[in-house]
Amino acid sequence: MSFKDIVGQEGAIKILQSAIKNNRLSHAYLFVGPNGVGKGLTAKTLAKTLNCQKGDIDSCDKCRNCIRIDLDKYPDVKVIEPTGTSIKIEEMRKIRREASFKPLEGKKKVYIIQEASAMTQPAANSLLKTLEEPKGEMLFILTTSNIHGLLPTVVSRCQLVRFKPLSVKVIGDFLTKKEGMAKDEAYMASNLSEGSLGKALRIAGPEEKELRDQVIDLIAKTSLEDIDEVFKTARQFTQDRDQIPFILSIISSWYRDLLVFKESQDSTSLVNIDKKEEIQREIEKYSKEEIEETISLVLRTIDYVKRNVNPQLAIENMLLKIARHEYTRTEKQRAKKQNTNKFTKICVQGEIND
Amino acid sequence: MVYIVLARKWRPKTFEEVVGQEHITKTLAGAIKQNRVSHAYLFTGPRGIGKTTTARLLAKALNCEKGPTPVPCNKCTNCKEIAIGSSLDVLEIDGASNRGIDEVRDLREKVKFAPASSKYKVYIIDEVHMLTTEAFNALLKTLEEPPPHVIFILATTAPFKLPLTILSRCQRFDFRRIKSKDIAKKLAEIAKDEKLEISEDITFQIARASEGSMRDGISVLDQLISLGGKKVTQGDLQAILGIVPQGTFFELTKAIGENNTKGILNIINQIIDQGYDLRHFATDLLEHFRNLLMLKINEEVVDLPKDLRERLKEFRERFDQDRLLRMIEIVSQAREEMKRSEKVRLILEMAVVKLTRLEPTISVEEILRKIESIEERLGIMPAQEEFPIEEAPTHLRRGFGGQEEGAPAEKASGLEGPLARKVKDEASYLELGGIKDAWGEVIREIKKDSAVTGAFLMEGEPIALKDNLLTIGFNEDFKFHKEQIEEKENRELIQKALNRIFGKDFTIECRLTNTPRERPEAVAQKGMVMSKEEFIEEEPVVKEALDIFGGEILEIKPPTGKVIPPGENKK
Repeated sequence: MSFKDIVGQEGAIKILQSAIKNNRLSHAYLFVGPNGVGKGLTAKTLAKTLNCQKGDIDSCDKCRNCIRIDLDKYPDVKVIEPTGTSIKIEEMRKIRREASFKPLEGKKKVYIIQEASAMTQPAANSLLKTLEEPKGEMLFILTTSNIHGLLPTVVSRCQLVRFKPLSVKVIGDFLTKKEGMAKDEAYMASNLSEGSLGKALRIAGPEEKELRDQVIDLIAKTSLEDIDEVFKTARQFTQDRDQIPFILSIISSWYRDLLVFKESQDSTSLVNIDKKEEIQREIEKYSKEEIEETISLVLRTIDYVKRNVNPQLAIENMLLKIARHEYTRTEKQRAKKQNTNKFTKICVQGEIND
Repeated sequence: MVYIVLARKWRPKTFEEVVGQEHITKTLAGAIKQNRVSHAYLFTGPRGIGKTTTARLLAKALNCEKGPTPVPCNKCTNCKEIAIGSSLDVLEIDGASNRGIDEVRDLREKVKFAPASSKYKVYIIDEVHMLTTEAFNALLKTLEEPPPHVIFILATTAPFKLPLTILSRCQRFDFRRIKSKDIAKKLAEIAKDEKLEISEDITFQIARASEGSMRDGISVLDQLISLGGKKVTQGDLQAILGIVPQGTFFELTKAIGENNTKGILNIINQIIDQGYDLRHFATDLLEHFRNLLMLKINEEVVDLPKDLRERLKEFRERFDQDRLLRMIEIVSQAREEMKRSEKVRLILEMAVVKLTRLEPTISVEEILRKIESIEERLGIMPAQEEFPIEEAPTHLRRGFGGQEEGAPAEKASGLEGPLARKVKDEASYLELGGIKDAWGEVIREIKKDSAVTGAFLMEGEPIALKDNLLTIGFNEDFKFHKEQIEEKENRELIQKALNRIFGKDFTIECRLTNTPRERPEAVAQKGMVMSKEEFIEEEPVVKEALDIFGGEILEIKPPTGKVIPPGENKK
């Protein structure tokens, strides 16, 4: 992979290439951007370019050095990744020891620290002095998706290069052209991926599309009329633990579409653009406030699941609340019709407290 | 050749070159001149403002062959060696990597040896906050009384992580954040040297974005140069800093003002498509709203170039303060949520949709004013008579107000009714006569709290005033009334009422007299004599009772249960 093959990051790559061209490459870069937009790839490509036998501003991808770097078999390019959840100080000590030697192949030593915010406090601190004034031909590339997780002292010692979330079009085109996917599947994945190509690749495919249709169907149907159905749906959603975040993001995207469409009557920015008719039908049922409430509810549920609340409980709770909306609304309509106040309300209440 | 980044290349070489830390460099230079250099210094402050630099300068100043001198020559071997970090006598230790007790033990061993070629052995321990507790403790003795040729300079961004025992052994220097103005000046200087054309506006923007850190500012400049152009454009800067162009904020504000949801969502869409960091955007949006709010309150504190400020002024009238405050609230809440969540887009969209839903609000003052005017029209006494508004609401109203200082706040701050205020105004110093004149008012005031007490007091009259001791006289016939007034709770009621009217605390004493007396009520109300029955009858509660039951008053009992037959008090 060379710079010209990386999609959607022209700005970042321009910064790096012109630095090489003008011989103004800093000794430390921090790549900031969401996951799966090409930070790691760009870092490796930069390492390749600097060690490439052709010595151009892009890697040739063919020479011995380039190939060896791709295979992680080049002695002067090291990629450090979190072991478990963190990068520990031992790792940094090793780097510092090695850093005092000249590059073995005579070009540039490159250390790529992936997800640098995973560095422990001692690890990050021990890097500071080296990061500020490394000796000799060295380059540090730190990547992170969360700049707030890094020490300000580390950030301040690096040149920041920002990586953008990829646009829906870039990802969609990539999936159709390079991966040969069907167009609607590709765009569905692209819309749900929040600008991350990595994520889009994970969720693209006919199965996922079917799952989305199913989820939306179930959500639209949820009602307290048939409370067994609610629990059945919850069970279905939680069957595969790895799918839970995906399912929740489908649900949130669904209500987001309802809100956006209700507010703007504009279909161009919809996520589930192929479901326009259903959306149009559904928004008649809800008030804006109800949709907003539901979105907050889904966001909260996502948060709960992330923080290891029992997913089944969290999702059941969410579905019951969505169903209750439905229920109170239909009850209200019925009450209006019968012109009576003598209906009883079943309120299902339950909060998961933090 | 290895490229040295500008931040390193432009590291100051003399004390004068250190920007924005005059309070420290001057002190250090003075100490060197007077030969009063301490053996342990602690340099603290945020990143990139000159701690390590100053530490090295101090080392140079002390070890320069011409020194110790506040102006190191930068030419002699010692100076040069220190500059490239190869001096044997200036040891720069990375506290974060050498943080254990073993490293400190090693250091203690070596401290004893005399310097190789200079006067002092200077230990610079950078990032010293990362030392372990044991390492700190092992250092204590050495730090307190090092050999005469040793000087310690500790530098850290986190002084609160150091034990107090370390802090107390060092002379501490707190480095300040550098002012945007100073950073901008330095950047312009560097740019000129690097032959880069850069406008004042852009240097200022860089300076603001670097939040007081010189290194951050120079890093950005470095990147701008490496882009290769001879002239820096606004576009370049935005690409490097990742900031959304100001114009977008104006468009967004306009759309919000027009409640144009569709337009707003389109703008957000564009921002996402162009790949801006939405968290960053939310922060900038907050700043934008803050500027708008400040423009309404105090223009001075709006930190914007002039043209932008003028442009912002167009929007000043479109939002009232309350709405702006709520907008700020919504955005800042969204920003908090965005920090934790991955669904940044959704949260931001929700927030901006909410922004359009804010109807123009009615301010608290507006409501109060309306209530007052309604009351006036209905002929009710102004609100503050019945519900004395005390301190807290006044503050509140001031807080909201700003421009609305005047009338209502002033009215609310006084406690007394309009009549009583007249009394107060006229008799700024009190005489017995003044109290006598206002006695009717006093009784009426007391009746508001307790009709019975008022009734008892009607039979007395002020007869003497000495300092704050008010003597109330009762005719011998009204001994019972006197005794009732002497009850603690009644006395307190009277004191309170007096305080409300005259704004003074009185002590009350009661005395029996034999002079017959006129009714105060009669004095006050010009001959309208009222018997006790009539008086009680006028009380709303009694009146209502009489109305309901259709009865008449036969006798009046005081709370103690004693019976006063009607007519006893008639003359």
